[in-house]
Amino acid sequence: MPTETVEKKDSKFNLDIKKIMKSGNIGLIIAIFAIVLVFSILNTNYFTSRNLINILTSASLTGLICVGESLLLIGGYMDLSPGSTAAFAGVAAALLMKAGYSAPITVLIVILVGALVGCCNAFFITQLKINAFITTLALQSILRGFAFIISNGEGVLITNSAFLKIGTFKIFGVPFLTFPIFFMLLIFIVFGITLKKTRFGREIYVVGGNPTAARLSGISLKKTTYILFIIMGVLAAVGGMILVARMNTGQPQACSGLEFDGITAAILGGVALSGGIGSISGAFIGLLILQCFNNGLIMLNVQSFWQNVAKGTLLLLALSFDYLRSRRRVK
Amino acid sequence: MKKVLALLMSLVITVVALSGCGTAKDASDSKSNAGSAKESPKKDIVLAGIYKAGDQQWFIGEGAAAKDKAIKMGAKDFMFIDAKMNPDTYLQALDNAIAQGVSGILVCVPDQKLSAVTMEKAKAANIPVIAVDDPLMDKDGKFIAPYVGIDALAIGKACGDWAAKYAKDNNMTGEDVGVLLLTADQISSCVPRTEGQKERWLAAFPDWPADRIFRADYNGPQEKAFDVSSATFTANPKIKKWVVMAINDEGAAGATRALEQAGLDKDAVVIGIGGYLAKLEFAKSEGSAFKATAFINYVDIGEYSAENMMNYLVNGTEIPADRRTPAVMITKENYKEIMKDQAN
Repeated sequence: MPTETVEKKDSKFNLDIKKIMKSGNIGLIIAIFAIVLVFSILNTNYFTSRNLINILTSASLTGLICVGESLLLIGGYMDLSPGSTAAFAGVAAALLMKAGYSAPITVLIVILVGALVGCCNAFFITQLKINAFITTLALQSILRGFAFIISNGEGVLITNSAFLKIGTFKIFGVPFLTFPIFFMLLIFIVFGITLKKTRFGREIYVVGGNPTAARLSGISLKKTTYILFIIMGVLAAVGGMILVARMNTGQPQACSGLEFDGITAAILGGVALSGGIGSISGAFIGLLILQCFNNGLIMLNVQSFWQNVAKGTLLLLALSFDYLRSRRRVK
Repeated sequence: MKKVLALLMSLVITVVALSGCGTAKDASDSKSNAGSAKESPKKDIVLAGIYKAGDQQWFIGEGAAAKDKAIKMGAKDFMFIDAKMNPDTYLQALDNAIAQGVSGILVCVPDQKLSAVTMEKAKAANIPVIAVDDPLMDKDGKFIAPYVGIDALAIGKACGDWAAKYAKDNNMTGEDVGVLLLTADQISSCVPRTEGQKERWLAAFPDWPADRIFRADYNGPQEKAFDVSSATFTANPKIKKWVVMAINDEGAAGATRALEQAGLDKDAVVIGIGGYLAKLEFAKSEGSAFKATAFINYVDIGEYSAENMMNYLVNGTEIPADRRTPAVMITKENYKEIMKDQAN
């Protein structure tokens, strides 16, 4: 009897290993291990708890955008406005508190603003049939402009101590689990489960993979589009508020290029630009690869020009693997 | 719906065409008057300010000051144009300003390699140009247009001198002290700031070991400065006390937040350049590691450049070839007195 139990357990263990080996994420897991190993050898302070906190803190804002972009890319869309949304949200939050609004009310208002931005994007895409790239590019410009207008181009100091705690508060007193890190991990878990285990998650794949089939099977493309862009808008707004809580000031020029970091992380993690393919777990690993890589280059004091070359090369490699993966899927 | 759209499009095209006709007429009038500054009535003068990063507080403030001054001196209008750090956008803006027949142009080029083409176009249109913040230079580094701006190297040196004095006064010279230079190597006008900072630090401490001077590039934004500073502090745990010098206030603020996260802020000193973000740090009652900044007054540059241009266009007064704004080091104790209205 004990032998049978052990054998069953062994076979279950072997099955899990096989499942992992066959999954698309094995290459990413190997990549991240390789990056961590190489940088750890080159700098003994790389693989430390302090540096892990640094990496996760740097990833906290990009991570939120990465989740939003992953959902959108899988659904067949792309959003270029999150960076501007985050900057506008941060400035708006700072100004609202300066005007006397409490932290909870400010957070609520700014989240609603983020949702409104998502609605605007979805409206122009679904109702006026304007391409998502163009629509979100326009919103990017509009929101950035408004961020400068409402702040008069100046940084806005935040003095509300309750709000500032968002940037540094440690969950359950755990040193590495600051609120920005905790929130990012929570979002990855929530949307990872949503994408994989819920009907809505399956609908996103169908909408992105084959919109015609989605429509014929009764899935509302309009509703799905609205939900995806609203999620992105809210995540960007919350991310913007978390950033200003960390930085103590709302700055209209912040978060420039943030959307491209999020998209890069998603693609690195196996989310296909063509839509219908990808996972949140893969996107998380892609994000870690990006952040570990960037962090390692800084710790090794690599000159900035060579850092640009390295990052561009990493992106090209990611896109090449994406192409090879898509060819394998077709076969 | 289609008819309504067609009607709207026709209306838009008609309005644009009529504006274009008006502009062309104004342009030809301006061009014929451009060479005779003394004959131009004040009300016809329109200046254009083309700034390499019109979304940055520095250029917004500078442009506003230039506009105020120009209008006060009788200009009809001042066009503020953002070149978005893009050479193509800059050239289009330049062509547009010339086509609209402006009387004079203030430029801060996104790339100094555009100096020659800027002067060629302006000379062909007989429009005077003043370079602000970044000079227009030939391949030998000689200025080819009048210049008003900051002396980046001198400002960097002022920071380095202040940092060195602070370190000496506060016993920050031991083996556990490190210097972090936050750089923007891809922005040519910021490179001399770092050079000046390092030069004056080493002049004060000639035996300072090279392995206790660190460089981290962040290119400008605060959140990037935070990331690179955090990584640098983590990579060098033997350094307990940090002297950080950045090329702008955003860098200094980002490094300050990173020091706070690492628990190293109490024994650190951070110096920035600008003043516009430093004033927010100085206003905090609890104080921070961000101790000083080189205040550079964009209002002076804006006002002086507009004044010089208007004096030339109205009176024919020769524009001074080169005028540099000095930097004044400000701290929590004196920033209100020095910054005056800008401290609010």
